[in-house]
Amino acid sequence: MTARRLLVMLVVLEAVAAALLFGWRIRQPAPPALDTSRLDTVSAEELTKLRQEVGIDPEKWRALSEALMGYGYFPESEACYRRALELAPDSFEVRYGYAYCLQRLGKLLESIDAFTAARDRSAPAMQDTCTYHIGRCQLRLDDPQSAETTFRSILRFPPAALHLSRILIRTGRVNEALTLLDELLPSEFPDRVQPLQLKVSTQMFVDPSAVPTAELGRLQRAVESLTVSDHREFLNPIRFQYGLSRRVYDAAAQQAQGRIETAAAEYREIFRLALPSDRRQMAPMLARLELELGRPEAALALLEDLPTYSADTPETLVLHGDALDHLERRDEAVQKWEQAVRLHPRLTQHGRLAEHFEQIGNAPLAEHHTARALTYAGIEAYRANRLESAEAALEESLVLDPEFPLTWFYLAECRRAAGRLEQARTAYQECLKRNPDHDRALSALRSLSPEPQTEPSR
Amino acid sequence: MNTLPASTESQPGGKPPAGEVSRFVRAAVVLLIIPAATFAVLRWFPLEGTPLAVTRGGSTFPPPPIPFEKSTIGPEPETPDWITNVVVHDLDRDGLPDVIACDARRNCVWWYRQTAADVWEEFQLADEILAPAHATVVDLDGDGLLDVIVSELGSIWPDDGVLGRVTLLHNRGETFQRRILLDDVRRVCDVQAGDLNGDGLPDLVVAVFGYARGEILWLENLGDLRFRDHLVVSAPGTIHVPLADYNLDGRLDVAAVVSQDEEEVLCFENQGDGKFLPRRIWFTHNFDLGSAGLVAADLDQDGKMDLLLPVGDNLEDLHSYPQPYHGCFWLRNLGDWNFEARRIATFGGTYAAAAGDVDGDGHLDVVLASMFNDWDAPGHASVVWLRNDGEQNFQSFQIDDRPTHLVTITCGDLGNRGRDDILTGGLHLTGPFDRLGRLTRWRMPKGPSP
Repeated sequence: MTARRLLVMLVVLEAVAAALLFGWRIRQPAPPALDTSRLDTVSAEELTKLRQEVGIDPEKWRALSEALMGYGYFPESEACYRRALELAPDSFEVRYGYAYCLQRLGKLLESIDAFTAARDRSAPAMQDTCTYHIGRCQLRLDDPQSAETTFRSILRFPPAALHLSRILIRTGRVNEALTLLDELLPSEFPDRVQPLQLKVSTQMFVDPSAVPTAELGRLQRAVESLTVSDHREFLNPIRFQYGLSRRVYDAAAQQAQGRIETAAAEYREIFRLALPSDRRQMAPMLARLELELGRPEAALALLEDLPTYSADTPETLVLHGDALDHLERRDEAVQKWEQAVRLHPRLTQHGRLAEHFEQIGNAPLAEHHTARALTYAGIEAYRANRLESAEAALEESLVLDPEFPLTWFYLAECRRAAGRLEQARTAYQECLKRNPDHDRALSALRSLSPEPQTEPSR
Repeated sequence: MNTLPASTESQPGGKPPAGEVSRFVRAAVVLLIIPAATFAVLRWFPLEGTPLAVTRGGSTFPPPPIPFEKSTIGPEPETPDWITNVVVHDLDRDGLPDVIACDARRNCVWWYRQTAADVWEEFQLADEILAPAHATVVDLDGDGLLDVIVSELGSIWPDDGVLGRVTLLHNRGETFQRRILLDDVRRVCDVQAGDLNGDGLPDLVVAVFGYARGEILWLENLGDLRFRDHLVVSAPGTIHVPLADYNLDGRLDVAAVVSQDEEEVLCFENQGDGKFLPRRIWFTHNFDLGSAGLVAADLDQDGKMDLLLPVGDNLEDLHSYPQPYHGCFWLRNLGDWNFEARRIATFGGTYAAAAGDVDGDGHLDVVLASMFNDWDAPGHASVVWLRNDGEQNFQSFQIDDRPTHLVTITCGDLGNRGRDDILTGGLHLTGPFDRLGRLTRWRMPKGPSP
């Protein structure tokens, strides 16, 4: 055989192999079609690229599946996860993501199987999480017996204890539930909102005539929440890997490093590309940044445009007023701040108005708004369980305006929480002098008196 | 046969001739071209195989026997609207039903006044209402003029802050004067009016939805528009509090749907003197059911007030998706505080229900609206009619698949035709934004009932 013939044969063989390879490749399952019309252009392009480049690489299939789930394409994500599982059956990440996706699709029996398989391949740190999700799927199937067994196996996992408490309450074992909430939960996470709320609700349901006043106070001052559902915690980090969300993340990092101008330029570009639903969150953030950079015109333009696609809030109205104030349009600024007060009175808006009236020498209005700002500062501090600073602000407010019943009420609440009951009683009485219908003050006053309470009241 | 050109023959000294080297290189290149090109092209070659099968979870239903007429009240939507509640009521008592709508994007309440048959004038009843969630029409001060009580959420988004209010729009004849009836509470979702203590004055029951914390209050009417608030129960996620005499003892009781992981329907039996005995009349362990509302309606018209429970709210999720357990339950009042729960529809993302006689056959039908059906695929239902055959067997019909994202629905005979119209409001917080709606109305055309 001559060299030329050998060469030709080799080339033919190569061509046949290449054709077979192309044929094989063409027969490989493709990701499902994707309608990206509801996405911004950047995210749409990135998802389309991921979809096109997926090949037969299990890692790329996993990334695509995850990204689709992050953007809410659950049916498409499930299909891709199935393919990723074929390519990488032993991957914990793939199995966990698949189980999670099935859960979001309401395919609960399949999800339980998938979480079980994921748990078998899981590092110890994730085993409780897998078990917890299995328990939640069982609850969603209205199977409390299985869920109870599952949650009992991970009682060290606080959200599981909360779910178990609720099962116990629903199945007539209220005392056991209250004991669990009392004895287990405080040591694990004292004064977290949901356990306290569940305890208070249950107590009131069992005995509506006995309002658990102390627990209600604790509930109002509880500042931490228990993460019961990790939906956002799981999906948000995925979103931040792609599209405009990633660019927001990068811009925020630049901002944190002090490169404000660069960050602002990037935010502006992101804002331009964003959908109205995303602009809603970005507009106040960008407006604040523009104000920091001394660009009140740009901030004003953003805030004036906001109501065309979203709602004004007290926060955006304060910002709007700030932008106008920077432009020395004080009268219009005051209107915005007053509008913010009418929508929802808070420390910030009263603070702005207090400053303004002080500057123009209107002492009565300055005092009024200062007193209100102090009251709302005190209430915020009370709800954050910072009793000393709350009391200080409320007392300062009363010096300026002793006629606002809300100030007296929260001062009383602070004093009662601090155990100074006589002082609390006095403050409740002062509140009632100014608003005889303030039922929470009436109720609290009754609870401080030796007579037992007779009526459920707020 | 000499297959190689002469120039490639070896040269003296054992070194291959330059031509032979060149041929060798060319041959090597030829051999490498196909694998390299294959590798390069294959790497970027899109998969053109069969796309993976996708199973969608959205709901569709057969069309009704007669297509419904569709129209809008008020302006067409140009940008995504946030209508949270629609109410049909003859606010000015001129004999023509009007429409009241809560608009959370513009922080206001609209009154669409029907001045003549199907002629609508738009009035803004009040602005600067922070995320209004519900409007209740009642003559609160007994002056013969209907007032409007607005439940202010304070934020349409999940938030545990103390942002809520109850605001009265006091009808003074020519204007509606605003008055705050309750504040310093978390997000308020619903207010209902009725005389709870038998003193002849309408009291109020307030659903403070909140988020992780919430409560149900009743506001005792002291006269002169003064109210004293009383705690009924502390519970998060109360959506609606329909009042009715559920046990037929002559006193108004309170029903409440409590969501937020609780997923239960409570009744508070009015024992008089401001005392309420709580009764759990229905619950599920499925914390994710997504209770979305509670409607009092005597569906079987047996004189005992029943309840409709639409389920399908996933607003707190980053992305909502219809679940197989979404739909609507009929809680049939059997008397003596026994309610029988019966699923009458499975419908993804159901957010609202209303009862009305849509086809004019004398039976109460049910209509449902979906906020979170599978909108990524076309054709999934947004409005469904459950036709009552008179024996409370309900047949589901898909009235429409657009607009999407419907959060509120009501029935009312807007044209005094003897058939109820269906009115919905669109809450377009999330995409897709290609099938927008504001106030959309459907009605069965004239003619015999199908």
